[in-house]
Amino acid sequence: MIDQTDHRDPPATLLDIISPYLTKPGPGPLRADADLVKLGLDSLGVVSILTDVEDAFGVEFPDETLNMTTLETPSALWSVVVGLLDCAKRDSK
Amino acid sequence: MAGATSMLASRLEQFASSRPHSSAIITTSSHYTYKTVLDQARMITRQLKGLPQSTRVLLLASEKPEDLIISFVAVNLAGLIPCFANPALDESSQSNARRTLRPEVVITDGFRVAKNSSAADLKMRVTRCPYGTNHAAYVGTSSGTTGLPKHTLASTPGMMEFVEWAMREFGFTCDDRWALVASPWTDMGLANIWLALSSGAALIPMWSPTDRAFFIRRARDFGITVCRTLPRLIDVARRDRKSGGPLMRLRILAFGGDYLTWGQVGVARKIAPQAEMINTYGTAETSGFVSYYRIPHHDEGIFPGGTVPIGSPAPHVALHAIREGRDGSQEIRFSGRNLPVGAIPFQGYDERLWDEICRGRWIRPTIRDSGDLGFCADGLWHLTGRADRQAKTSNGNWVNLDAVEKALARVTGTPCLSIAHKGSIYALVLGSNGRCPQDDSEHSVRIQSPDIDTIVQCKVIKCLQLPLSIAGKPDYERCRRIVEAAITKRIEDP
Repeated sequence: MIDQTDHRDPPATLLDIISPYLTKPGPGPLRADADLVKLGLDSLGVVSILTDVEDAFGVEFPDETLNMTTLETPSALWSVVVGLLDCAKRDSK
Repeated sequence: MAGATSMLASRLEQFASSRPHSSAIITTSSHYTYKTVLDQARMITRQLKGLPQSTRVLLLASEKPEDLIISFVAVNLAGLIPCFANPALDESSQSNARRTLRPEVVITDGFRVAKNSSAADLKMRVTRCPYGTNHAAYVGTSSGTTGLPKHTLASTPGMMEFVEWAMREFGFTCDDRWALVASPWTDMGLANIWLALSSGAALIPMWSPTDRAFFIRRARDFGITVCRTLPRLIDVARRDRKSGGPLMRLRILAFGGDYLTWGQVGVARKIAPQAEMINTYGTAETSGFVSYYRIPHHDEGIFPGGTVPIGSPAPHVALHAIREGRDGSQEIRFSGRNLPVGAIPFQGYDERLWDEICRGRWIRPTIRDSGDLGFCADGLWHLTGRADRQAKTSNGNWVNLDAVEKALARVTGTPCLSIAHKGSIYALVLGSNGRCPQDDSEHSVRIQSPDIDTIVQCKVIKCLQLPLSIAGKPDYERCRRIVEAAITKRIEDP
């Protein structure tokens, strides 16, 4: 069950997926509101992250989510994942 | 009989002589060398000699890409104008229902030559070309997804200049293996056929209407080095995780025909890590591209939005417009580029800047103006305007703005004018009538057609007088300015 807390705070699993694809990571742990483009995310990284997230969370990103808005920040990505998980849950009912 | 149209055929003859056993077309079941392509084409050319002298245009409507290409060469050798059309056009989507193409001769599967009853429409369009049919390389037909199928005439000098330039710019050689992913009767497919065969390369048709993921597997099997395709192929490839490892031999991957997102670039990089990627833009139905953008190999931190730029105009590009009721074309130029501003813009793009016509069209809008008729001649690229008033609502779907106006008029009881503007349809309605929708409201209208009913959302702008010309006809340019002013006012004074 995913609640509002889940929606606001990306889990550590998600941050662990994103971090290796940042070519200019800042000091300290990755923040939920970090600007991923500024941290050196590139287009290849976008796709790699989405693929890894699909595998980790069992979701499939629609083509229209394959953009930088989805990956603006870890929180933005997490909200898309939560939305996809919600849809999957509704579909299964 | 042979004239300027034989320039592609001349190059094939040259390759058939100097490298007779080089691969020209490779399919799953057949392998055609340049010599076998030429030999087969010459056999068909002999059949064509029996046609009446007045014959100018031949429709090629084969289902098999290799037959289509060989027919293309044959017609080219005969000095006639090949015309390409999707054989399924008549039966395809709802918007193709009112097909107008009636060519003189049809070459269908197995090279059967069948005479058709009338050439009225196509012939009229071809003879209206200001550069004359002697310069015609081929006529392409649009899919018709925006309404009536349109015919695009590419000139031989223009195509040859384009080929020579592209070979220099992108280093295409006879060692390349080109994927023919776009269907062969489309503008993109035709340009790819010309580029591959004119450079002595091998062309590998891998267009499959039912299996898009087919591409990845075949591209690996055949060692594809060059591919120009629609971005949506990448979306399909993304899902095809069973297709195996990357395409290491692919050295040029070019996109065109639709907007390209950075996300798609990322997928493409995974599929083809060594490839240089190029985004190209050719205004609708032009056979080739008029601007291009070399996508940087490292893009970390540089991409600001969702779509990839389409770059700057290619050298020697010019755009021309043909307006209804005029003979010849008039050149259009754009400010700030190598195309300075001129007096006569083409229809649907009046007073717009280059950026609006190019990049603006590639940002995913809800509604967009659609369709142009393009051709090139004398080495220059041209674009002719369209006469109808369609607005594309999505791929394959469109509405006629005249129909929108009629439907709104039925609701309001007064005349209305509508335009497509920045992703929306705006309707100017007379505000004096009590049945008139509220200003700034969204109003749904149902557009009925024999094929399909469409619900269209219009943004209503009330006005006291509809903008009409002196002759009493709708003045859509003023209409656009009123809409612009209303939008600006709302932004300033919400």
